[in-house]
Parts: sequence; structure tokens; C-alpha cells
Amino acid sequence: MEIGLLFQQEECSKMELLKLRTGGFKNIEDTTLELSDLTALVSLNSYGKSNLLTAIDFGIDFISADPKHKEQMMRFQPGIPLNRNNALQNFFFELEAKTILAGQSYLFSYRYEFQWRAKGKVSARIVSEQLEIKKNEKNQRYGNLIFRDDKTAFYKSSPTGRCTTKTAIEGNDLVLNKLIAFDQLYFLDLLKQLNSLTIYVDHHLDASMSYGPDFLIRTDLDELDLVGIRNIPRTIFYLKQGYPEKYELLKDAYLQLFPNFTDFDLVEMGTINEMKVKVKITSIKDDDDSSDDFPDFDVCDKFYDIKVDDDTLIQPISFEKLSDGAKRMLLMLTFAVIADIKGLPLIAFEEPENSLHPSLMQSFLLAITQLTENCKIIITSHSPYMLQYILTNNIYIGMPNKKHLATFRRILNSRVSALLRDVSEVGLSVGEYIFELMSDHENDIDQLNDYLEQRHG
Amino acid sequence: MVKKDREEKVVVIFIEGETEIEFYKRLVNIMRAHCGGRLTCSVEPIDASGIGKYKNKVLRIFEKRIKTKHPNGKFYIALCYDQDVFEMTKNPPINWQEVKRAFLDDGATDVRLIKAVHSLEDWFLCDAEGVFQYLNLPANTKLPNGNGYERLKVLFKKGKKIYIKGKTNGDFVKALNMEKILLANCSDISPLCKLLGVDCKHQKRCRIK
Repeated sequence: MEIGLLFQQEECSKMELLKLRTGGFKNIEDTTLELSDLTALVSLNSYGKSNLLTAIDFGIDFISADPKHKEQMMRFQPGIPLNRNNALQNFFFELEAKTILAGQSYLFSYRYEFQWRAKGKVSARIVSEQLEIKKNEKNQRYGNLIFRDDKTAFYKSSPTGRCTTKTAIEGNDLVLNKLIAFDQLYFLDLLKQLNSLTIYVDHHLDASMSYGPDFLIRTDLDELDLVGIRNIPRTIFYLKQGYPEKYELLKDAYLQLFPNFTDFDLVEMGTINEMKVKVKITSIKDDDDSSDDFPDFDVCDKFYDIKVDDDTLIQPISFEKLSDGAKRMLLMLTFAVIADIKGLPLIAFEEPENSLHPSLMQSFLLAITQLTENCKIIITSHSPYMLQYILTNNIYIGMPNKKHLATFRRILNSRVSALLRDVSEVGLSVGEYIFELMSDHENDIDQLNDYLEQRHG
Repeated sequence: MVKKDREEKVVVIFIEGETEIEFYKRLVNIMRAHCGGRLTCSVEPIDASGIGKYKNKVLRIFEKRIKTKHPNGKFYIALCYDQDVFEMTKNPPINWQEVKRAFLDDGATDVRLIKAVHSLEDWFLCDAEGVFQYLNLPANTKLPNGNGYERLKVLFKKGKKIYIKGKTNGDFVKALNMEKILLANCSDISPLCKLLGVDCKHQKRCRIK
């Protein structure tokens, strides 16, 4: 297998995500996140942190999905809001980003909304869509490139014109997807960026399964596609082959975080050349033709392991034998490096503090933000220790409420100094203080509310 | 009549981070070398990094470790830190005056604040040659823009390494020319010189050469 030929060389994305807004998904109420290099979501258990990340992932996936998949997504049962207070509310998704087009910096905003297919509703369909853009300079105003409501859709066909060119569009397709076929369209580059937008949400709370021998490789994805990664040693092998400099960075970061490890390297465990068998997993569902959606797998011809030199041991040890924390740390750093290589504008990690000693958290955050130079990071966390290292106004708090809907609000810039003063007075860290207020009585919730931005709309 | 034990001057240097403690140890060694190999005090460099509250930690170390080790000590405290605030630093920020007062209440004779302007990374870069050598970068490498910390991060990446503040290993500090750094930052370091009894007659130009 010639590794060098397997990578899909991807141009680094020029897009920088600035803001995300979504709602109408599970229990997520209208929520806006202004993204910094590192943004944290905190709340009580079962509040909606994971739901929010899933909603964002879903919202981005929907943009590039083909019409057939869009239809499936619009009847995605687990996503449909069922809470009495937001039941069957339309799903909406909005992003604001910065990009470079023909050497000029632009800000743009893209949003769409669809109606779920559910009992009592005739059909699922997209009911609105809008793409606006402006130069990233002072005193510029947004102008529409795409505008669509329930009945009609328009786009701007020339730089000097207005957004009045009518286009026919199906209820299961976005104007954004249709216009990509218009080769001469003057904002085609922007459409291409949006149509290829990908993010990654990592749900590996337990990384232990990612290090054992694994003989299946997905053939529909390239080796470093985050969605298809099943085995970290194999992934790191590909990383080392294709991006040796990134591999060196990963290794250096990891060894600094675990100074008792003096070195690690990949070891090829064996080959099974004769076993190259194509495996097709077929669907057992009978309600549609979704069996085509199941990925193809090959049986891999080589196994890999990572051997670690530990200065307290007389011989190298297999990574599989290391602690959960050591394994998860390498997994997260590896994913971060790959997100950077792939030019993803966003990667999210659920509870990175799991299995991690508090003394490692600061260094972990410093390392991972450096490995993902052009990629924003969102983490969810239950750790006051983790929280104390995150800029106070980059923390979004899920406020308990009687409606049992999840909405996250951040600490206002103008209230940061008041919060820090209060924290100092009680002798706690910011993390301890926020978690204490979040988990206690009504008065504490009011106090916490006092630091937060007010809900828009 | 029982003879009273002689008082011992003890200078305790608190600094956060493995890189930083290595740096200050080397700094003290240089000062010691320039005083004929012997300082007129005991020196205790302490890594005060940790996950809890800084004030509680340093006072606990002072009480439990330093005072026990030096029962006749007369204690001079140096609290070393960066003037700039960095990403991923602990919140709330340390109230240095409060820590200073707490040490004085706890029996310290004097407490000095040693502020790196703007950060220790700016000091490291006073020996840019040493940094380039450690990172195997050409001597004519252009310094990137930004503050010392940002510059060092970029340079480390060029050298296929990650600069993790407080964590980057001691080998890096060993590669630096400390005398060069000392001379370039004389006025910032002079409070420490005074605590250690190193004679520095000129405020701007250090006599250590």
C-alpha cells in the first residue's frame, strides 16, 4: 500500500468561524455561541451540552448533504424537539464567519430553517435561507447573496446587481447547493467553501478501545478522516508517513505532558496480505434503501502498536497497557493535529478532563490550542479545575430553568471584573464559584444570571 | 547560659513552572559564581505551580517546609511572575499585594516582587542565538512578531516543537546564555540581586560581567 497516494490533499480552509446559532433540536432553545480559540460549555448533567454539540454537527452536515440525505435528516427522530415548550419547533442554523475571497477579507452570515417531518405535519421542507456578505472593513453593511422564504428563492447574479434573480428550488434542497453548479457565478468560491464545510465532534469519552488490534479499515474515507478513525496507532502511522512535521509536533507535545515517557515510536506488528477481503455490512432495516449508506470496509494488511519508553521501566511498553488518561490524551492531541491538517474550522471535545489529572489540564489546553492553529475548539466540562484556565468570557453556562430547555449564555465582558472580585472575596477559583452557583439555590441562580448576557429575541 | 543559635538569612524564590524554576536556579548559580562561589544566604527556589490557590500553596510551603528546614531562618521572599497575563492562566488572577502581606504576617522579614517585563519569554529571547541553536534553526532566523511568548511559540513550531509555558523541559533553559539575559534585564532582576546580597552599584548596568 503506497501511503503517500492515499491522502486526499486538502487545501487548508480559509474560513474562520466566528459565531454559531442554532435551536429547534432536541431540548435546545435558541442558542448563540461566539467562538474564541477555546470556548467552554458548562451545565449540570443531562442539561443539553451534548445536544448542543450534536445540533451544531447536524446543522453543518445538513448544508452539504444531498437532497435524499436532507430528507432523512429532516425526519431524524432523535433530533425532533419533544419538550412541551418547544415541541416540533423548526430547526434553524446560522453561522457567521470570516473568509478570504480574491485576496479580500469578507465577513458573511449564512442561515437556514426547516420544518421537521412529524405527526400532524404534511412534509418536511426548508422554509427559509439567507446568505449575506460584507467586506471586513469599517462602515460596511451586509448585502444579500441568497434570500429565500417559504415560497420563493432569489440570488444575486452579478456583483453590481441586487438579490432579485429568481430560482426554482425544491423543499429538500438549499439554494446554496443548487448554485454550486453555476460555474460563472461570481461568488462561487464562497459557495464552494460553504458546501465543503466540515467540523468534528469527538465523543470518545473512553479511548481504551482505540488502541487494541483492529483489522477493519473504512474504504470510503481517507486514512485521516476523523469520522473513520478506529485505531490510533494506525492513524499515527499514516500521520507520520504523510505529515512528518506534524507527527514531530504531536510527539513533542505528548512527551512534554508525560515527562516520565522519554520517547515513543510506532511498531509494525505483522501482515496478513492473503486476507484481503472486502466486507460489506448490510442493513437489517427494511424501511428504506439506507443499506447503501453503510460504509465499506477492507481487512487491513498491517497492524501497528505504539511502544513507549518510560524512564522507570527496563523495556518499552505497549501503549495499550497505559492508563486511560494517557490514551485519551494522545487521542485528543492526534485528533487536534488532524483537524489542523484538514483545515477544519471547528473541533469539539466532550469532557476532555475525563481520566485526566487536574495538574495536566493547563498544559493540555496550551498544547491543544497550539496544535490547532487555525481551528476553533469547543469543550464541554464538569471540571472546576479546567474552567479556571479558560478566559472567563469564553465560558457559556447552561442555566437551569423551569421549562427544562437548554440555552447557553456567556459571562458578559462588562461583568467579568465583578465576577472576579466576587470570586476573590469568597476565596474560590472561577470554576468552583460557577459550579457552586449553578448547583445551589434559587438565589444563587439569580446571582449567576447577573453575570450573564441576556437572551436575545 | 544557653548560647542562641546564629540567625540564618534564607532567600525563598517562588516561581511557577518547571521551565521557570530551572531558569531561576541557573540565574542564582550565575550570581553565586560571581560572588566567589558563595552567597551570604541560603537560597530556596520553589516551584509554586499547582491546581489550587496560589496564596494557600506558597504559605503552606513556607510554613511546613521552609521554616522547618531553617529553624533559625530570617526569611526574605522573592515572588517572581510575568507582568503580562497569558492565555490559560488561572482565574482569578493572583493578588500579589495580598500574598506579600500574608508573608509579612507570617514572619517574613522582607518580600520582593520580581516582575518580568513583559514575560520570562522576553528574557529568554534576549539570547535569541541560544534559542535558535536549541531549536536547530539558522542563526539568521527572523524573529516573528508579537510578545515574547507568542514569538517563542512560533519559533518552537519552526523547530518542530511545542512551547508549553511552565512545562517545556530544562534542556531549553540549559541552552541559554544566562549572563547575556542577566545583563539585558538588569533592572528587572536587581531586586533579586539585592535580596541575595549581590553587589550591584549601578541601577542600569550590572557589574556582573
